[in-house]
Amino acid sequence: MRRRGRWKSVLERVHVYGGLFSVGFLITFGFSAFVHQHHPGFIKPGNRTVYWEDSFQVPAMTDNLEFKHAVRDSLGLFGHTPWWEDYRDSAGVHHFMITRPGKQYWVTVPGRGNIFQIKEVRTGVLDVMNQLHPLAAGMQGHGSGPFFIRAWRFVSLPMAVVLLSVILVTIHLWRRRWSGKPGNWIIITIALVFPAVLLIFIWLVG
Amino acid sequence: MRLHLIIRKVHLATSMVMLSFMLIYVFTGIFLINRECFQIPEVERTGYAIPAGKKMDGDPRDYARYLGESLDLKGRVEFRQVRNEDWIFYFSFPGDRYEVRLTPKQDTLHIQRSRQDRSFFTVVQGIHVLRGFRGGWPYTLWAVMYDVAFASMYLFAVTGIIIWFRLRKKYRYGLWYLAAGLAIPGSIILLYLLWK
Repeated sequence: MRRRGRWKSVLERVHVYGGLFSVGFLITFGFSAFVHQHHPGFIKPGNRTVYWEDSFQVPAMTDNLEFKHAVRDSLGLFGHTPWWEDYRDSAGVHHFMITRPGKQYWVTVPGRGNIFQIKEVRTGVLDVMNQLHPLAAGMQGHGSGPFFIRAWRFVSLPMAVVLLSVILVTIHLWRRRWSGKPGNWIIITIALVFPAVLLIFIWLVG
Repeated sequence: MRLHLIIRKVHLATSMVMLSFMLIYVFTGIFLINRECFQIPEVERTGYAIPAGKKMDGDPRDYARYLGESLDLKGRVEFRQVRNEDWIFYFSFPGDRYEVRLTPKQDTLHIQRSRQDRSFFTVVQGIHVLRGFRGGWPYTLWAVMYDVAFASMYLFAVTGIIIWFRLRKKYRYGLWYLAAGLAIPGSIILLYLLWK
């Protein structure tokens, strides 16, 4: 009897403390779930822009992607260099973008000399919050990025597991109150099974 | 007292709504996070052109239906017009996607098929990224349920905090756990904003 009481106390603590710990996860992943489906306008990059320049030498390269990565690394930045954000203006000057959550950099490659001009666009907190969702898988091809890329990948999965445990414990704690009320079990069975059945239907029938 | 009971019921109901979605998305998400462990099949693209049997006059939905029936295409149907010129109709089915482009003169259909062998990973990925209201009633229903699950995430969090606040003397370390849970994503966001 005492053991059962202790077990109940442990479950209640897991439920309360685990639930409170999951609030940040719920806010970030709930927000990105909303954005991925509705693409609201307020998530678009902001217009806070900073200009700066840096001077360094990049060895001549024939491969454009390799060149852009070398410039990125020399600038001490990390992020992707999308192929479609790359052009030469009417004067033949090469411009390309380096992008990552929170910031976009337009790099102007010097025709002569070695001064690279950078236009840095700060995309804002909502953009980063939205991108924390795919960043749970890390950033591929971003260069030697800082530690927090890997840190987020490392902590986001345990946070999801804590949340799952909290939900299961919630239902377990309420189960005791449901004895003699089969209607509740029907509701939870439908809540559990219906999404999975719909997914299977979409997959098989289209 | 009555309000507190309602809050507790909302907390329970939202946990039920979330349970299935969390199971599906966490399960599929684990495989997406570790995509390097899987061999992802290549997408094969083939294209051909045929005469358009019928002109589109009026609702593109009717034309999409006509294309589906005449070319025997099934799956999720989406369409858009490119710069007031070509109309593009998409028919997506897991592992198969047809892009049917109707030229401005409406005399030719350019059809491109993108085919990817179905593997465990492609199925998991397809489930994880499924969203949007268009494409037929099953997709609309899924999108509505997806939105309900998203709203439930916030309601579950808010009602949970309210319930804990009433019991904060019993669970006195709650504030620390709440702060830790907020600080982890918060600090990552801050680092992304402040890092060069």
